[in-house]
Amino acid sequence: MSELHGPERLIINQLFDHGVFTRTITPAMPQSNIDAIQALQRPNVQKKINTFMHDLLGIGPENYQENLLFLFGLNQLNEDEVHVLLATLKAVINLPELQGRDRVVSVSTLIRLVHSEVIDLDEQIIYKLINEIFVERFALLVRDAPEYPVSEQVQEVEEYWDISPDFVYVAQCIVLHLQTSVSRLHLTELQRVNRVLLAHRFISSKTTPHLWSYLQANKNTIAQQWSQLQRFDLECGDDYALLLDRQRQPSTSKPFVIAVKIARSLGAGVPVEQLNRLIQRMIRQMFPDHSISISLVKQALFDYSLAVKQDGFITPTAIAQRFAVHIDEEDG
Amino acid sequence: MIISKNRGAKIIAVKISVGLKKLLLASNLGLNANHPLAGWNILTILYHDGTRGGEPITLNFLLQRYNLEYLDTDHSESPISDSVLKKILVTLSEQAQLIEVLPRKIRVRMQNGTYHVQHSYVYRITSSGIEYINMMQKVVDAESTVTANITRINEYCQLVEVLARGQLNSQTTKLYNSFQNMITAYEDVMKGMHKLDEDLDELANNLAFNHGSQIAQHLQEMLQQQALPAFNQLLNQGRLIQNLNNSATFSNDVAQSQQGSDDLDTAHAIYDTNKMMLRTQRTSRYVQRKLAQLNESFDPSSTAIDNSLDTVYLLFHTIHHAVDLLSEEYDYVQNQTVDIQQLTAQIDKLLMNYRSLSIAAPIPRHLAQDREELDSADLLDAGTMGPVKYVANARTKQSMTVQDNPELAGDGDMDSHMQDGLIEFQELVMTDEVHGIVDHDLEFKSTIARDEVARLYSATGYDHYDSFAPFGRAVKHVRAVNSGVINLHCVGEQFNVRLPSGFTIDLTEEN
Repeated sequence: MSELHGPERLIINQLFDHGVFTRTITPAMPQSNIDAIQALQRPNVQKKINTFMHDLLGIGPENYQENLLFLFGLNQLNEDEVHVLLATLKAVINLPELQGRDRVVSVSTLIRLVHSEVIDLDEQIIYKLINEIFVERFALLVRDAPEYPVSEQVQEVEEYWDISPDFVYVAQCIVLHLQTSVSRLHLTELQRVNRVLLAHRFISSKTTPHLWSYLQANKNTIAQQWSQLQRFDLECGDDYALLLDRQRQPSTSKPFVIAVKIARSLGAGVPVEQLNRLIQRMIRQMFPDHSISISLVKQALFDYSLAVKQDGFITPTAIAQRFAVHIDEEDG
Repeated sequence: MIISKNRGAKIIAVKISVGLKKLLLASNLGLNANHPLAGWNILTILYHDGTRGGEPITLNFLLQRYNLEYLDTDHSESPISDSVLKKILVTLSEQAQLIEVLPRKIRVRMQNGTYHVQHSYVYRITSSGIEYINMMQKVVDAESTVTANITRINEYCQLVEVLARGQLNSQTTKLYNSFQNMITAYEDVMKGMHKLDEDLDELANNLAFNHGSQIAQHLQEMLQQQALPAFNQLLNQGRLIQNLNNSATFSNDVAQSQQGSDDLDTAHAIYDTNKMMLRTQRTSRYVQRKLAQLNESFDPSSTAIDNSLDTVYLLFHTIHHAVDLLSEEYDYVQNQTVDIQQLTAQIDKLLMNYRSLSIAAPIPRHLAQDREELDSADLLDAGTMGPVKYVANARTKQSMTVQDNPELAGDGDMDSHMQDGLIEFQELVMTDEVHGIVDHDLEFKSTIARDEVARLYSATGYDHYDSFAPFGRAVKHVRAVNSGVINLHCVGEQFNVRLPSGFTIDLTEEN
């Protein structure tokens, strides 16, 4: 297998992060992105990306005029999310703003349009979902606001979204994706393991024993495969395996540190209703002089997959033990 | 001579329509704020009531008719007085020339059965007035009557050709009528084009909203197959118009024709040659003016286009604009390889059964690479490495509150302090009226004096002393002396102000 080059890695990593890679070059784009867009016009680059992703996961990106779409995950969006996604696609492609050079839409306008389609959700939820799907996940909408002269007093700043110039193509691509029925894939064991590694935070020996044994036996191959992206390192513990992302910064926030400590103290699990008290006690014990929100700790506990909620109990996950906390009491 | 008849004859007043009323209120004919509709109503009385009653329309008659029938009940208009009405009539006749005043003899029937003859002024509506009344009505109805249609353009063209061929002679009014028709046809065409221009602007918006390639195509066809040929046809008439304009006899012929054998003008009937001559001359000038105007409309020079109210190139501009618009739309459709309408339809279909669709949730963000060892082989046996240590810093940030602010010095009584300060300054620093020296540590009771001394030290760094004025005195000279560090202390304070050296000071003498 030939090595992946910079542009190819960039494209694949962006597909993992955002699910889309679009072809229009904008003035604000970094050079590496422009290089990647230009590289994608070469068939051998497209082929290489496809081959790599198929080898790794069993599926590749969908291509609509050099706009790539990669909708991969083992979990599915819920009904409301799908509804808002489709309604937003429809509303945006029919916006008159999309025709001119001015590709900006006021947030309230778009939400109102989507709301007229998705009547059973209120506008705040719609805003949250559009934000999750189109701003954070696909990055097809970018937050914007009018630039006012400093002296001018503005009571209310209206929010806007910049619409990606490739929005229509991605919309078409998503629609085509939804129209094609999914044929059953024949996956190798290797691909199965990789899919779980990518779609979940970790693989545990307890929850997926058969994948675990395969992974144990082939961890060098798997690690080598992922290393080509120069992003993910496979870490294999005694009872867990996970991908570590070099593009992220380790968290040093207090809620995270408390969450680690909580997770390690959960033992075989505690009833859900005791969790708040536990967190409160831990905060007082670790940071007596600080006021730390319980909900932030709880959020960190689940966001970092340190614990799971199951049958009314909070149980620590396999990766809880890979973290340790040392408290620096020193005043300085 | 007109004979006054019984005033009891019932004449029905004319109601003004709402749209017309608004227009008239806005234009205020007659220039009277209290009776904004007076001008219009007088015209109506003269035009309408005057022809039916057979009664001489004197000031008195107008006054009565007006106050009886024409007061504006919507705006509770009060009855008009004869002096006000007179003013309005003067405006109408002398300024607007919509009516004319003629002195007439009137026979009045007396109670004794005889007639008495008296002189009076009667009012009559002029041709302009009649045109005004009709025109205003048209303005209100324009939205439905002004249209751009190809037939009207054709009519115009035919009329021009008929006139240019010179087949019509001045024996009958046919020539005059044709000319008149040609002029109105041209005006209609231009009015229609103005409207088309406005409409296209609106259409541009619609196109933008609907991406309507079908509408665009239809419009394209209309412009290509009908509007453009019509434009060419109009343009071809330019030469004929020019010929007519240059013709020495044409305007005269038309004027003659106006009084052709079938003319109904009363002057014609009684062979009032003076009046007929006057009329011929007037008509001839009118024809010339109209032709010149028309000719200017076809003049392709830029000044003519700028100066002419209705240039035929306006029509071209309108068509050109529409074609531009359509090509933009065409470009957009070409650029857009995705058919929005089709895509929307597809999304609509998906929306119908969105509950059964599955879309993958986003890939979660993986944990950050937090191992310091970057040897990937080691990571595969992480069990031997032990957990990653995270250090929690328990330091508390000192946060400041209002209580941490230093105490503020009280304002106190500045004036007496100032006086104390001055005295102390004189005692400690000044050796005489204009000279002073600081060469040893000083103990102050007044902060004001201390501050002045500290401030004066900074003057040693300057050659200009305009900014320094200890107790309002102008400074002549300040020079540092080599005395070592000087401490200034004020009673009750726990700190010293330390100056790097002492200084001498010369103040300007007061006069």
